[in-house]
Amino acid sequence: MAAEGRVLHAQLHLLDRQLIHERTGELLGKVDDVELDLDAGIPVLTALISGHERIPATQIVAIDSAIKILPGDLDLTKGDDWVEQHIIDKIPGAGDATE
Amino acid sequence: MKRLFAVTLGILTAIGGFVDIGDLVTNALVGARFGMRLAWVVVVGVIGICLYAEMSGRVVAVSGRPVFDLIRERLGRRTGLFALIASFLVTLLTLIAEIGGVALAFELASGVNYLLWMPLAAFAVWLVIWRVKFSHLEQVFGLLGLLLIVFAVALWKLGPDWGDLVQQATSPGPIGHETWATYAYYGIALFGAAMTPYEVFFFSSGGVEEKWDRRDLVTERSNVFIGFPLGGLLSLAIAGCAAVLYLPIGVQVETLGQVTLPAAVAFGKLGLAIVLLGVFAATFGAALETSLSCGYTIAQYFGWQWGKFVRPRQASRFHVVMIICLILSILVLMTAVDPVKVTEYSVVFAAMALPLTYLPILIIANDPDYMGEQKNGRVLNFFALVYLGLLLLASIAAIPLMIVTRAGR
Amino acid sequence: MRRRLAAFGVTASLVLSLILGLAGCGDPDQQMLSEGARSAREAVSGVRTAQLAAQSLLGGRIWAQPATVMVTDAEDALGQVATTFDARQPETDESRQTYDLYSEALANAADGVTDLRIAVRSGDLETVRQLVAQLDKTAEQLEQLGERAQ
Repeated sequence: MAAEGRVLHAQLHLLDRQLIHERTGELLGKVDDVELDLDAGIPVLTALISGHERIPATQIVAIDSAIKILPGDLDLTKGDDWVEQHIIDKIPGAGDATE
Repeated sequence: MKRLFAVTLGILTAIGGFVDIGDLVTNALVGARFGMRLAWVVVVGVIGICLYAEMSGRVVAVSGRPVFDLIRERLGRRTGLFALIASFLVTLLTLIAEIGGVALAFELASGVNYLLWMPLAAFAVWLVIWRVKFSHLEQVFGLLGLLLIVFAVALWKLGPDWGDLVQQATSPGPIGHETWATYAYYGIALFGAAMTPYEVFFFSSGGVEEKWDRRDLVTERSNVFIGFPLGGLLSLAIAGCAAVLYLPIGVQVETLGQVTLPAAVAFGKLGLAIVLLGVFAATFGAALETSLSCGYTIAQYFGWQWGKFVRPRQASRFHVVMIICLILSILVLMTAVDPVKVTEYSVVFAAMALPLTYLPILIIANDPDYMGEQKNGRVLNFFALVYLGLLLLASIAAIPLMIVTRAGR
Repeated sequence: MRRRLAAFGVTASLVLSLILGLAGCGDPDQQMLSEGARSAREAVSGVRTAQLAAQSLLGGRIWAQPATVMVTDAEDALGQVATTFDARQPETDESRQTYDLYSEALANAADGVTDLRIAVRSGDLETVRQLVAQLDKTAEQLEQLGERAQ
């Protein structure tokens, strides 16, 4: 909820910004769109859209040079998982750290 | 002491890593045709790459975000996509040239046709990317690339008329049967070879791979400001050797063999062995850098997990992109297209893509939101803008000159 | 043969100066000459490269494989230069003469380098030595032909 009350420029601070897992540092995609609540007089950010997933503003932890979120149940890495299962995992050494 | 070692190692790596197939071929070719009369372009190009590599390194150290990540953020999705396609294609073309270069080096050493070496080279590149730690691959091939210093020593040994070389360097312009059009065309090629876009993608992504922060700015700057210019001197030595050996007898450089022959003429078999090893290290190292850069640019544009700091399965799309690029390289080279010709085109296309790569870096390096106190100063911006003008000029002139000179003939 | 060559040289330079005077670009004779001269210069490059590689082999400065690769590359390049030039169509008597002259010189050079490649590959160093000396003349002749037009 760190973002609450902060004035943001949608184009400059939100759109096309990198999404990062707050705990693991995993890269989770880009912000493709934003959802605003326009009833409150000044527009208030309610959610970020990445691909087909909607990330509620409550899951945003920090807006910095990247946006740190707690994805919870959201599945933001579908594409990566598919490629992992069907291609990369079939190659020996896919789970090893490099030396 | 440990700090000093790290800085020295970084500088040595930067020198050895500076030269790739584009620099090798273009400098030898230009040296043979124009002597040192285009040497000034190398100097201008090296200053340019220093300016912009320092900026991209600083952006990474301060914001923790690599270049292409921010390119999309600042240019928007559409323009960003355009920049991505242009930079990616140029980097892919460079990768093809580098793999061809590795195979040609093996062909020279063994006499076995390069087409047989080429799939092996591509496979080896993939294996190293798959298994070897980032800092190791950078250091090993960077340090081995230092063997190319043999060109500088060979130039000495060939005993040129130094006054003549200096005279050439200080009297720019075409000679003999060359025209101003071919002179300008190869000027642009040299510029493209020195400022190849993948260098900044690799440099800035490498900063993230090695987890740079503000404390690493000293290392970053010494790599750039000492390593790159010394790497540029190697380029000049390659041109110098060709100028001494080939210009007087009318030889035009069209093969990798001709690039390496001066070292053999100067030092015999040992010289040739060293230069072949150096060429292998330079092209193989650059093949690693370009395939990684292909993965970096695409993954960073789309926000996918990338990098060698995670296990391959954690960055599966990033690794798949690189595998596809390597397969594409094999397929293209299988058509028996001359890798040296591919190299010549790759540096000119690189010159065309330059503004798309460097303008966003300049914008971001001036953004107080990311950079805080570390944003560009006025003097730096002045020079960066001058260079942007040059990049634009080279980019616009490249295609017409390519047509007029029929690609430099 | 030599007289014919010399006579041709005179006519060629006459034609050249005439053309330059008229600044005519589309002249087929002039085109043939400038294309021939350019091909000759490219051929010089191949011949000199092959020579340099072979000399390095004789001097023990490179081992056999790179020498073979370099001479073979030069041979390929020369073959390409000769084929490209031969594919031109002479349209006047004048350009026909130019065509024959340059075509012959290019074929000569290509043959010389082919002989060199055969000798290098079979490790016949004595023949390599002789051919290297012969190629000097070939290269000099091509150099002269190459200077006849811009």
